[in-house]
Amino acid sequence: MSTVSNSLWSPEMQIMFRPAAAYQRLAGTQSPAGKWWAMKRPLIFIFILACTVSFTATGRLTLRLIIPAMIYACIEILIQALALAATRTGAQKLPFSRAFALYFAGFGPWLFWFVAFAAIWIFALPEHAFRWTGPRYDGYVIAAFVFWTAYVDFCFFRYIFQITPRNAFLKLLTQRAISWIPAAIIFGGGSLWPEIIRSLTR
Amino acid sequence: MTSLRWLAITFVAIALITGTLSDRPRQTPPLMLGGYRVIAADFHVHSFPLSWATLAPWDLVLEAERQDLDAIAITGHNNIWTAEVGRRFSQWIGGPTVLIGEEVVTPTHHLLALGINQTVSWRLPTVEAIDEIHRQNGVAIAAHPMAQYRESYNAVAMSKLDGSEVLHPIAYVRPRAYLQFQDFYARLNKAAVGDSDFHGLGTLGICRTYVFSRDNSPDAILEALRAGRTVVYDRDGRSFGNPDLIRLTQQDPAFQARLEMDRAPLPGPALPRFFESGALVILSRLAGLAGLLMLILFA
Repeated sequence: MSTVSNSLWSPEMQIMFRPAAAYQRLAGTQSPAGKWWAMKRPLIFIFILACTVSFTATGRLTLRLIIPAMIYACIEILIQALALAATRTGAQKLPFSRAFALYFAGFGPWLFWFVAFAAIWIFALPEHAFRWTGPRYDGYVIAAFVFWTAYVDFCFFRYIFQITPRNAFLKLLTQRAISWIPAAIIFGGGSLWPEIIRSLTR
Repeated sequence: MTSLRWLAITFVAIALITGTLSDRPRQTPPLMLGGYRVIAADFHVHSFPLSWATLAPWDLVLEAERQDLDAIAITGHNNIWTAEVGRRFSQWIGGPTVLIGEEVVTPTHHLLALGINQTVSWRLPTVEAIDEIHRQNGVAIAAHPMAQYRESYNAVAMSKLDGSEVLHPIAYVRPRAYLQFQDFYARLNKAAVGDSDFHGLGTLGICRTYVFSRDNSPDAILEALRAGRTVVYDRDGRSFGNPDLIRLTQQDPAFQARLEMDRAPLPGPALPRFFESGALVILSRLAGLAGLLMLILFA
């Protein structure tokens, strides 16, 4: 039986463009054992997220910002772990560590978006970077990534948990509600309510 | 495969070393002009959590130091506790002056409350919110007053405001919004304020206010804001604020030298500006991007 690590490409790359085929294949493979393998994907995610924070704020990679940003981003890992635990009902045969690693392997689109976003802030002048990453352009890009990652996660539930499309869709909605609402409150909770009122009354 | 991963790690390590080594504060001696100390300030700075920002209060204080800002106001969205944390940290390390602030985010407008000691409710009507800020001896500044916020500022509110943001990063994205800021400022005719509305993107203090203050204490800075002793320069060299003080700044070589540094990178073709950043920064950027991409592809 092959393992995930036999491919030249990372699990993120394998899953990103053909998530259904990749997750079907990965469902039948063995994973290297151990907590490190389970934590490797989340650690790569928060490291690249923290590097993006450092790049966008200072135009370079500095440990002064990367280390604290990784610590803050652990909240996101915790929230995602809770959301996954809550949606794993009916699929307990699959070890949580393996489900956790495979779930984070589906974050490839976000990682690419982080790096592209950082590249704009590194290479462009501030006035151009503000324009290109403002809601007028970046809003559409984020919307595209939201749908893309929703499809990736749908495939994760469908093929890794081996459930029907309907159940996979319901688990996706549950997972999004559990993970995105607390993340939005922690990240922007101070103005969330007036912003909701404004968008409803606009 | 393994060699590609090691190559990615090597690139990232080079980027981390060069980036961290080049991460030094820019320090200029205190500048005196017209009998006042010139304070470079950014009064609209957000922190993690709760305000859609990526840097925590202590990170903001260190970043303000790196950007040679003498004062910042941490303005949490409808909260002040992040500012209190930032102020304590800055006092502890002897960093820049941190004003306790709040961006009162309402469904109809945004208002900066500077120098307050209690949260101002976003549910208050504009005039009452300004009164509450003044009751706490604070200063009320209209935040990025674009046309859609105008209705919230009636004649009474305008008479009570202490200043408005005439320069904000939106000005560089939407020229029409910049004209609206200028129009609002001309009607208000009080303190001119330039703020970066920093959420972790771009340069903290890219839009900044030069405050002509007795000293760098919060009380002195607030008094100068109330008295309208401020000057703002945009990246094209256009100035706003007290005309006498603008004249002083234009005649002073030391101020002009500082302004030149504060405006970097200057507008112009992106590529030459990129290469002006210095060898360590360029290496950190190129090696960092290559390393991160290779991590995604092969790790």
